[in-house]
Amino acid sequence: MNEGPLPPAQADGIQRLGFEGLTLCHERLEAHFNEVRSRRAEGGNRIPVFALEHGLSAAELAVLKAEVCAAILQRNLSRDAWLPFVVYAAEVGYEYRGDEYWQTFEALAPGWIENGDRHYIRARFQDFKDRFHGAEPTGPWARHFSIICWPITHAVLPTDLQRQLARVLFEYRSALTPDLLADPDELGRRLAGRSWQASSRFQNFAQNTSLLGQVAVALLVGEDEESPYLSDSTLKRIVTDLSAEREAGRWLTDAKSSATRIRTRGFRTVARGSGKGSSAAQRRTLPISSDPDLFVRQREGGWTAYVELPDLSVLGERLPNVNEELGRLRARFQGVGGPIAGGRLLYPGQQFRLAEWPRSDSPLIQLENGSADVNALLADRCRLSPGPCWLFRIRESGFGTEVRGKFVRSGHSYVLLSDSPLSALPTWIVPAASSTAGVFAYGVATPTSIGPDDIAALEHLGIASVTEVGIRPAGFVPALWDGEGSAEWLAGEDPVIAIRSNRALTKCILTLDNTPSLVPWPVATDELFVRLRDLDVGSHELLVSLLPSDAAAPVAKAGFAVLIRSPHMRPATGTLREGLTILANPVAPTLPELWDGQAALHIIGPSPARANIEIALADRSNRELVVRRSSGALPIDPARWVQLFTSAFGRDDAMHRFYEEAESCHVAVTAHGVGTVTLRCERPFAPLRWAFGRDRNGPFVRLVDNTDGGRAVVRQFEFGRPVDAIPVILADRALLREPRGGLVIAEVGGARALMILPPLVRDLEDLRAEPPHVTPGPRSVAEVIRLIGLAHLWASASLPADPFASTRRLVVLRAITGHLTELVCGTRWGQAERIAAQRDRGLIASELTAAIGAQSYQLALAGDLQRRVGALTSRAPARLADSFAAALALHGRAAGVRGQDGRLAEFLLRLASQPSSLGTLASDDLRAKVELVLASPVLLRAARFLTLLTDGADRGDAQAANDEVSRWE
Amino acid sequence: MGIEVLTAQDLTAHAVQVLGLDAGAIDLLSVEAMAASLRRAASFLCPTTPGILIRTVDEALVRLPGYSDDTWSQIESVLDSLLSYGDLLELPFDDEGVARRRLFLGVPAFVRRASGTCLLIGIRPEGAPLVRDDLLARIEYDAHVRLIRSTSSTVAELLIADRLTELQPEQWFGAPRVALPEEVVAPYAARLDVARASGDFEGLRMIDPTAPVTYYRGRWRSPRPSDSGRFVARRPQAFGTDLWCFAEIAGGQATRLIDLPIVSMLAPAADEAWRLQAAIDVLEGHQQRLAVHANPRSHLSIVDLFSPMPSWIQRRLDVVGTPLLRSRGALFCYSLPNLELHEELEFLRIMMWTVNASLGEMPLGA
Repeated sequence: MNEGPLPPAQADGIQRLGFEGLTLCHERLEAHFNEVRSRRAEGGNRIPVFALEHGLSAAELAVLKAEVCAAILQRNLSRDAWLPFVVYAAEVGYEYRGDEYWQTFEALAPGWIENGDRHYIRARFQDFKDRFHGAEPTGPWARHFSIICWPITHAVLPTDLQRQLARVLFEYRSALTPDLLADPDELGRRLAGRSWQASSRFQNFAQNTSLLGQVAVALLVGEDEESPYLSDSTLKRIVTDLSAEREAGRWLTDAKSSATRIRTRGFRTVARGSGKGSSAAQRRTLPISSDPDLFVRQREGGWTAYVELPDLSVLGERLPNVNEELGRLRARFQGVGGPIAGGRLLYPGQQFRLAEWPRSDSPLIQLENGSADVNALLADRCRLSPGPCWLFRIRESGFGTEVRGKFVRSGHSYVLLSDSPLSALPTWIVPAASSTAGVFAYGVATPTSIGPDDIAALEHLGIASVTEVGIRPAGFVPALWDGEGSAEWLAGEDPVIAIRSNRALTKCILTLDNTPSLVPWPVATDELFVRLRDLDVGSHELLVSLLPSDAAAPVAKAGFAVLIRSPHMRPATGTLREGLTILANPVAPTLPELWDGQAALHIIGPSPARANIEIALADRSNRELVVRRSSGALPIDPARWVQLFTSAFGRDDAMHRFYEEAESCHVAVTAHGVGTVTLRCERPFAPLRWAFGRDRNGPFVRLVDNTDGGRAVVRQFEFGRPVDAIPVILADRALLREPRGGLVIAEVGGARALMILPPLVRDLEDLRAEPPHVTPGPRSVAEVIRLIGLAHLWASASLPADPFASTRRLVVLRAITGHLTELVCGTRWGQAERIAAQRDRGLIASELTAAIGAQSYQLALAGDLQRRVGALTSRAPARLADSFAAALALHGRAAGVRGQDGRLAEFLLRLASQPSSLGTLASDDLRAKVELVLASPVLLRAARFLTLLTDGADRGDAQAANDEVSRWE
Repeated sequence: MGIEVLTAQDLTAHAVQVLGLDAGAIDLLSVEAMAASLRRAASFLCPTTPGILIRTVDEALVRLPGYSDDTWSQIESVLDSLLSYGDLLELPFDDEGVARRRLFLGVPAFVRRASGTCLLIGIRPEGAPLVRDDLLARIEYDAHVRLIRSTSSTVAELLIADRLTELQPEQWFGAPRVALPEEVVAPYAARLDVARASGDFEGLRMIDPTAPVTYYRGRWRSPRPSDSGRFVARRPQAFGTDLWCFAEIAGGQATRLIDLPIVSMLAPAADEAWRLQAAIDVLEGHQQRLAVHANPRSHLSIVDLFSPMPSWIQRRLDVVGTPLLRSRGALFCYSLPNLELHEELEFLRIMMWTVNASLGEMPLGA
């Protein structure tokens, strides 16, 4: 700053000058920010100014804080000397760690709760924006947190986010380009797309892609360079704080080194297929990094097609919400039987068998209940190569990889898949068995010399032959090579290609992305080596035309597809290339999701090795509160994970004691000699949440409201009357107690918080709870949907660390399921279920068969289901749904079922066993299906029948079918 | 963006650089570069089979200066070393209900020699370097071994900061207990006794216990009608590399067999096969051999080994000594400090029953 210093801090404390001091601070800051604004505006730039760029020394800042605190105590929220408040609020934001902002503010500035005014802070930040071209918060998070978004945005990069940004920059460093470093908005978008594994707080920060990009570019400036986006002192402060942690400092150093190297390499052009303007025509011939890879294996039934998932997280660079949906929603992959669990699409390298060849007129991958824009992006950016034939080069006996360019070479072996039978084939193309439905397989063994008739036959199939020229990667292994005409390299690598021909040549024309170069052919060699320099991320095409000495026309031409892609980021949960991996659903589970059993972990590792599992709870400052260990045989599927977690950790007293205090949970899985993988689950940063506590008066909850949206509407449902809402008037910061416990719901604007409040249990008498009474309603679509919605509310509420909360909730959910079943299926069915529950396992079927229905198709359906239960090898929900769909297809026509409808079968089974899981179904779809069930209650009876038989068979308990364990996603 | 024409020499130098090696000191077809190529290929292809990994590396090298008919087998041999060393892991893999074995990336780790020098182990996915930029330049490459010399604990601290796990040598070696040859063979024989009769396996190859133990490759052949007994063998599988097995053969036909490993499912199958064969060789009266070449003017001796050694021996030798280019018919060679020589020879004698058939004194570097 050019102005004179503020009054210095005195040795025995901070000197304060009262109102005069506040004014002095304001004037100093005003002059400073005017100067920063002018500097930023030079050259017509519109680079925003941040309140954290105040340029004050530590001593000066101490004076400012003291003045602000004094002013707050005196209720002096000045409209003239307001800049100190803006700087003070930004400083609080800089140290903010995701807890309650205003509580932190109050702790640092006593009296704020009584004398302060949140709206004053927002208004002053808006003044700052207008006066100094200050930064303006953007993104969904800023809309939710309309006040605190200002000081947090003006804190530039709060301390708890610095480490995460350093890591994102480190992992993205090889994909940096000079263009990106010169375009913070685009860099911010790319980095935001790559931050899906970061904490919810960082993801909120990343929603402001412009700010993210500017901070990133500023952090990546070289030594002795000045950033146009942040003042030098602020940048130094962030880098110093960030480097206090050794690992984060090294991440940043390595990322900066890469950026410096990249800046010196010069500019690149944007690749075809990577830019926004890439056309569909280009995509038909050139693969892009989000296209899956196809390969075939020879199985007992014949050649079988498989797809390997690409890194779909790169789509996050195009659409901000894509990774959030990919990380949470279940997906349908055409041809892959059942649905793919939520989050799985974000684990590249997974291989899926294609039971049926995907139709080209429908999207390959779609998310269930996904937004239209995300599904449109998936449909566009994740495709198989066009048919009607697909060619695979045999790489190893019984294994072939797709040749996307669809050309063959002499003397090689291939497998050809065609969507229709082929005729008039050369003798070296012979039919073979295919175990993927919808395609016909052929073995191809090209002769050493391919004649004109053969070439014509191949062309008829849409396949070219290349005889005079060979092109291959040379020297170092590319990231992927199909063995013929397509290869992938990582961003930052220069592909090296060998071009070979036996013809006598003098020159060749190499056309890279439509730019031709005439290159002399080297003397006395049949091979030319070329290096393709500085290719940008995306698809590129190299066309080769060979020119002989005696003619101007090329004697041979060939194409080669080059894909440059960003490296896949390695999550701490490991990758499928390693011996040990955790696949999580959702992909970044929160602490409550892990605790409540709503997060499904699948630990993949070599059988029969054992995995040691360590779970540690930590507080906000990452201090370990409690750690517990267990072990289990690998692999551990989601069902076993829930059992293991519940038995080894969920019932542990110390874990219970520290759960409410914990802000994160660290799961570490180790298999000796194979490795260690980890998963960090954080308490989500929610605009509205209940904090659970317990004192000598029993359990209570307190509402934490960061929404700035007015007073919360609070409702309560008692365990005894789980569908009857009771309004609650709750004063600010008041504790809510209810000895009978139940579900508490608070809503403000679009934010909602749900929690199960456990009952007060003082003695054995309190353990005796009346069974829940579900108030009867009419047998109507609206009532069924209402009950589904209420079950969903109960099931999705957070559970505190209290065993009574979870057991009472289970009782409630059973009651709602039972009531809903009887409402739809009728009292006779309800009676039959109650009788069956008292009977031995073997008698359940006979008791219920008669109640399904007396008509012949109903009896046939019951008999068929009983047989299928006996033949089931797995009781996994997806298998059960497949089997049920097959039975309904055979016997359900009279009940309105058309063909084998897997989704209807799954809906019915969910309704029969876990109606809460239908709470997120699209309303039109839900209504249509409920209408069908009310018109044909036999469908739900059959689903209940199947559910009771299978769960009862597993657990010897007819009542078990009602258990609301997370069997369905 | 542009196209640059390279000579073959430019190309190999560029490739060596991409692999993170010193193009001025290391040739693209050297063991060090082949190991780096295999590590890079594995980082993109795992889980995979040895065949695909070798083919992928071979395709990148074919027709480059120095490439020969032997290159394939050299890559194969380097891959074996990487497996023994722990850069790659051969683990059970559930292939749609069929148990197979595949190669996975070894976990990033390091082992400290007594001198403080750290041996680096493991591969990160996606061609990512094992350590950060500042440590990369300090890595030395000796055959398949990567090491950073240091006499202080600073390097170890930096490696730990880079999330490499420190392994204690004994933990890393993972040697089995000491046993007599009969004791080693017994569990395999007992398992074979109760194995179900099998049909003959097309393509089965076996180790001929009567063939000279000093020429490993020459010991492999197809069963003959005159063969009867129990043999270490390999059998083809539908996909992937041939499986190691212990087979009972009568009249040249396999009548029953068991797949290896049976003791440790997480160890390479070859570890059990090679120790089992060493035990069989002893019982047949053909103990395996090694040769020591001592040089009185040096503190180092050279040990020639003629049979492959399980990973727990190779790792031990990697910690104590330095792998060398093989010489004079040896399958592989190590340079060992004379101070450690006796202890290592004794270990080989106890664990693999090797006989020291030294060829006499010879100058180092011959």
